[in-house]
Amino acid sequence: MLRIKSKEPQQIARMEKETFQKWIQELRPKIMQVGLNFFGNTDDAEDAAQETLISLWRYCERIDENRNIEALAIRVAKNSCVNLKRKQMLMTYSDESSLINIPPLLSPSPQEEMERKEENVALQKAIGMLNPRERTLFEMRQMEGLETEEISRQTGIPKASVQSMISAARKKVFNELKRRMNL
Amino acid sequence: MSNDEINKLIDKYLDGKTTRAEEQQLALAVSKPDALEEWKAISEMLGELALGEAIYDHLIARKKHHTFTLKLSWGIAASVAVLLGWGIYSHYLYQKENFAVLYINGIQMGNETQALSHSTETLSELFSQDDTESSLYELFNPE
Repeated sequence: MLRIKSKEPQQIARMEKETFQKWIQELRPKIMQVGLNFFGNTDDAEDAAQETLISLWRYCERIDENRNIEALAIRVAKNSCVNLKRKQMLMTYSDESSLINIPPLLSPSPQEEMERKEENVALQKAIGMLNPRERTLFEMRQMEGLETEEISRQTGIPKASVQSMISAARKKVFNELKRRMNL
Repeated sequence: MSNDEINKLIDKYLDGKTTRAEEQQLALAVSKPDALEEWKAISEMLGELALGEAIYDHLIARKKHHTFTLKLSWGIAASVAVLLGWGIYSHYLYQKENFAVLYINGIQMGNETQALSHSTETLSELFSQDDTESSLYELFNPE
């Protein structure tokens, strides 16, 4: 069970590379299966898996080392598949006009990348204003996509309290983000 | 989804009451090209992972439906082959005493050549493969 300690965020131990590598050995077959289900061939599934590992490490640098990252890994794997498919479609079409209305995912254009970064900085600053418990619950939902019941099971916090704390965290982040983004 | 429905879902999201499936639905709705400017904050909060996962799950569901349709079409193809065989046999018997008519997709076939041609055309339509592009286009460009 994940115990959320009342520490400042910078005191929480971030995942070490060794721990990450152990996780990857265990999760690699599942990550590959996500790709195989999507592409139906090993080559593309391998490419997507490689991209998944790179993206996953970036996420893991931000979360507690004791966190179970399986749910996060599957989510990142799904995103990598869609991202790779989009790149393949861009290579197929000679002009982008037919794809212009499909939003970019993990690999946007340079301009989109810049806007994304600015918005993401604003989001991280907004999240930084949460207390450690609110932040952990917010991220368990936003990054890992865990349902309320699962968060409650993993943390030992009653379901009603989880819902209430996530709501409070979201409203704080939302108001701060609107202010920073001038919305 | 209408703007009103999206706003209601946003309220539910901020109350912490949405399910993961609803958050995926919301992620898709607020990331469309015609999404309102005021939804940008929600889009950012939901994060890129929710959107990517929503697209993945949608495409996998379409693929499963397509696989089911293909299996069904094999059954139809087998049935067509049987009917065609019966049609040819009946045509032979008709020359003596009996009479039978072959229909494919509700259209009466006049002879074996027409029946084979029509069967081939029908099966080609059913067997056309990758509809990822059209699936993605449908998701983000509602009529």
